[in-house]
Amino acid sequence: MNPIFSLTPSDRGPVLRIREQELSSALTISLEITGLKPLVSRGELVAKGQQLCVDPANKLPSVHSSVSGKVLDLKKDFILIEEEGDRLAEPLKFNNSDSVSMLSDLRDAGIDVHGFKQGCTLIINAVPKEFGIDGHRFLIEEFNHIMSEGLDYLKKAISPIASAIAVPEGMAWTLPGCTGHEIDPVYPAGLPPMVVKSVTGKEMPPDVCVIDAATLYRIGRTVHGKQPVTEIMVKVGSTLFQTPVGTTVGLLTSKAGFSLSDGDRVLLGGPLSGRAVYSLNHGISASTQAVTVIHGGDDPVAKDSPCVGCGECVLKCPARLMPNMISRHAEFGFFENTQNYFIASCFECGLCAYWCTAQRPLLQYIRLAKKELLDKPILEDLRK
Amino acid sequence: MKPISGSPVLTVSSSPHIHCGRTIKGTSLQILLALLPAAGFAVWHSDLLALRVLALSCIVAVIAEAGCLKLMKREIESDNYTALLCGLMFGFLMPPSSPWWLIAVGSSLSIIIGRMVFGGLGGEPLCAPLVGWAICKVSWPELMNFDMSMLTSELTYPLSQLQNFGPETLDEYSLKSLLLGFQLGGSGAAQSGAILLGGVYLISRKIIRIDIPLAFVGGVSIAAALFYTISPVDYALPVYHILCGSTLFGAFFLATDSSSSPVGHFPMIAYGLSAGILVIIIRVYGAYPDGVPFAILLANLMTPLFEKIRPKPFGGITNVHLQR
Repeated sequence: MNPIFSLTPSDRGPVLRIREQELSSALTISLEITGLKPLVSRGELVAKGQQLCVDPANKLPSVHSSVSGKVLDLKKDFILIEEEGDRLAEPLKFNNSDSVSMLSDLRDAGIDVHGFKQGCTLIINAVPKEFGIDGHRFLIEEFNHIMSEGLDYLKKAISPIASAIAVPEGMAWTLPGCTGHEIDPVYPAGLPPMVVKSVTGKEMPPDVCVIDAATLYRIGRTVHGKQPVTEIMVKVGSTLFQTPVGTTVGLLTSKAGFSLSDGDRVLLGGPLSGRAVYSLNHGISASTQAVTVIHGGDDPVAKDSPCVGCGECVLKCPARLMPNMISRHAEFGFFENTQNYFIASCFECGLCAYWCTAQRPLLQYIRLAKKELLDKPILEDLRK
Repeated sequence: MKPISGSPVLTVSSSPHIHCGRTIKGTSLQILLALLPAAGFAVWHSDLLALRVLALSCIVAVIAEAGCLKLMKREIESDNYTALLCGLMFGFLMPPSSPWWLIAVGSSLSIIIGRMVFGGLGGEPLCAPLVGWAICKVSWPELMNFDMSMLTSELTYPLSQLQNFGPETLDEYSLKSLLLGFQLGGSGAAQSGAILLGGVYLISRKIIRIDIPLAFVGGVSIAAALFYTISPVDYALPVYHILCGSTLFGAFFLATDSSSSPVGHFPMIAYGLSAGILVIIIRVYGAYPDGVPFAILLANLMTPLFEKIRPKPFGGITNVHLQR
């Protein structure tokens, strides 16, 4: 099997603490705040764990400072904070009275609670999303009690009818109160829709919530310490780091031993579903689990070439779609037609574009069509 | 977030950020490589006559494609070798003694009518080399008749022997001689053993899937076996149908042509089976001794129908997930 599709967690190595690596100079962190409203201004002193931004629409989780320091710069999308002093924010208050306020407390503490519903089936996804994104192995094995504390809180908040934990085959990971399910560790089995199918036997049922193990740990840590999580586990290449939220990818990649040059790519997440950053000063967010470096070649990954009809994408698609036809329609702006090919069933694993003989940007076309079909089209004149 | 001086300029892309490395050019080169042994055998059996046919056919195809792309004001893409491959496959189907103008007309029509009028690479609804072949076959039947055009050769054309004199004539061909290409037929297409070798190579390198060749040969065998069981005196053994003419060339190289064949396991198998069965039906009832090219063309026409056979998409036939 192709090793990049293997989801079997690697053996646990040592955990590198960025704090111990960077003693000489003050740490500068960069927090991404796209779409959020900042609560601080430039030059202001902030405490560790202080809330910096909130979403006015109450959808996105808020962002907290992971260090005690001074706001160096405040841009539309980023806050830069330089470490200074030793201030600590007031402990969070959790209102345990009802589900809605319990979830909104979590959101205020920086946890994404989008899609959590009352009375659903709760699935803890402990299968790595992609090859090498297995930093949560350390958390499950060492901090099981923290995770069960988070699970208890979550169970109180959404009162699930059943809870299950999905683990990669061969791993004896358990959580109290969860039925275990072993999953064949081959990509894309770790993506939420596939995990839901393996556990419930149903495809895209409406009443299931999936939460990954690292997020459950963050819930547990938040509830346990009454402070937002400021330190997270991030896998950079094959090195596991414990690092403050907002640590720049430049620092992480250099500590992990990568030397970067022009044309390289740095991704938050894995190579098949991660997000590329444009600057080494980009800080990791609280939900980042891995940083991947791809050394650049001269050729772009995708090309503007016609579909030759080899059918590889159709045979590889785990959602049994026809990415070839969807992309052919999306390419020329016939976005409505893509619904006849059930575009909504796509869960964006990226295998179609990975295997495309013509190197077409298949998943990119699918995402474009989805975006155009939803409420906020980004292209309107392509059809004219 | 300006890049500070000295920090590298990163490339951004949207996921997936990696590719398996397979390209159109690499695929066509692999298929060309798989065709080489058969081309060698063809040249050997025809005393260099086939070399002339194959070379001319390749050159004309590449020039025709480049000319069309120029007219269409598009970038010349001869360096992906697909036109070369199309020309070579057309040459494989032609008698080694064909006059130069027949090759030139057929090869250029393969590219122009088979491919470029449909928008170029990837648009072909029919296997392009077969389009040129069919035009030649219908327009100049005497030149395309292997027995008449290859009178000087000591070899004979087993399929016309079968059609004219019955299955007992096939006894003079040993399986070994058929595999080694001691038969008349398309210059390269008649080299059954070398074609088989190339086909197995393509499958082992995962350039083509096994579904279509297997179903094609299966269809030929089933239909031929059916006729043979009805009357062994009137019909030939399935193994002769597989080794004579261009059956194997059709199974491994023509039927698997990427854009004219269906996608998905079940459609591929249905397509291969119907093409294989049509081969025998044409050979038994038709006017043409070798039914392979027309059988594949007919199956190509059915491709859109076969592609209607689709499994249910993940989550059922609905687009409600889009709203979530």
